[in-house]
Amino acid sequence: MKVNNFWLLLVITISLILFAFIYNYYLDSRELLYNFYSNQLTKEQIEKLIAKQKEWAWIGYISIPAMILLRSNLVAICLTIGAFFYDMERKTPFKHFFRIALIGEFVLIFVGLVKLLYFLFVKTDYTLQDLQQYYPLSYINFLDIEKLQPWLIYPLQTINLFELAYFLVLVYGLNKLLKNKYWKSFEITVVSYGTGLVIWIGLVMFLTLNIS
Amino acid sequence: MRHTLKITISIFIIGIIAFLGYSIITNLNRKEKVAERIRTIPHFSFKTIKGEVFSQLDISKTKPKLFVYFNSTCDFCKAEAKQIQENSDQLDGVQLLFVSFEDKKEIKAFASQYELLNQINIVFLEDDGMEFSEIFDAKSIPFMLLYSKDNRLIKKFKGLTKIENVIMLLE
Repeated sequence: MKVNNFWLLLVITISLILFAFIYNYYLDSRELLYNFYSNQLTKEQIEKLIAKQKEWAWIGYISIPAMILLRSNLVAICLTIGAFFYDMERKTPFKHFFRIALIGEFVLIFVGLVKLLYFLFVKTDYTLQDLQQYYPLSYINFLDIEKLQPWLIYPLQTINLFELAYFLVLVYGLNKLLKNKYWKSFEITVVSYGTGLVIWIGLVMFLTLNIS
Repeated sequence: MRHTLKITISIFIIGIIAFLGYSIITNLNRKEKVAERIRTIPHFSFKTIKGEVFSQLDISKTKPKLFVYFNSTCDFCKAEAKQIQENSDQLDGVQLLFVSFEDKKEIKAFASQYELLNQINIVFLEDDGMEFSEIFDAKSIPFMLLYSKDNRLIKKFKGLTKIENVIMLLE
């Protein structure tokens, strides 16, 4: 039985919202905020900040499906353009490319799961910065983040095994969809998703440099 | 038609990558220049609230210097000023240079509110040309720079900072 895109989207959204909720509940962000800001703010200011965060927490939750939709659409657009350049997109509706991107989102659910388990059971003594900057199975974990320039953090985080798994899911999906040779799908993914990723990383670096 | 579309998309993508690459490199070069420039107190020229010109030639030659870039409407700047006021005895040996791009009247009101006006070691400066952020690459407020007696940069502080962290570096 083939699950349609709506149900896929629903499962991914519920999973990620659940993770966000568990993060906020079990990883005691209140105490972390206290520790993080204790060097900068007074107790009253931190209380105010926490109250404000609590008040606006719902925005964080409802932005999750919006982020999934945005990310999956952008990846699907990249794949469609890639297939177009290789003259392979004819008679293939956009929703099929979108479906590949949605399936790729399950890799990101694993990222959330591994991160959660890591902080719940392995590194139980962590700071707010650890929570924000840790990315499982990433090259950045071998480096001292404190010594890195802020604009380098995101590109170095992106070098990780989950990114590779996400990429391979896209290759597999394209291969099934276009019914071509595996290496052809690999090539299309490198050219299309790879270019999109380069632009995205460049954009994040550009914005970080401008605000830091 | 397909061929034309492919060329158009390719040019568009190359254009985006070239723009981002160029912007990133330009920005990195600029940051490098700023870091080099502010390693020692650079040339600047602001006005005191009495309207006199105050430049790098007028700073103290015997004390460490703390630049505080602020705005009287910003809550974090108010919190920073309050901390400075409460720890003024520990900052006696430091020349405090408060800089804002607001006009004299607002700067003076801010200084009075936190009892920082007419103190020997504190100078309030008006940056009417909005040059401070350009010279020191200040992207947010409050923004502080601590310089040693011999005008060498000790540390930059972005955002609200516990004043104890600054005092600690003076010891």
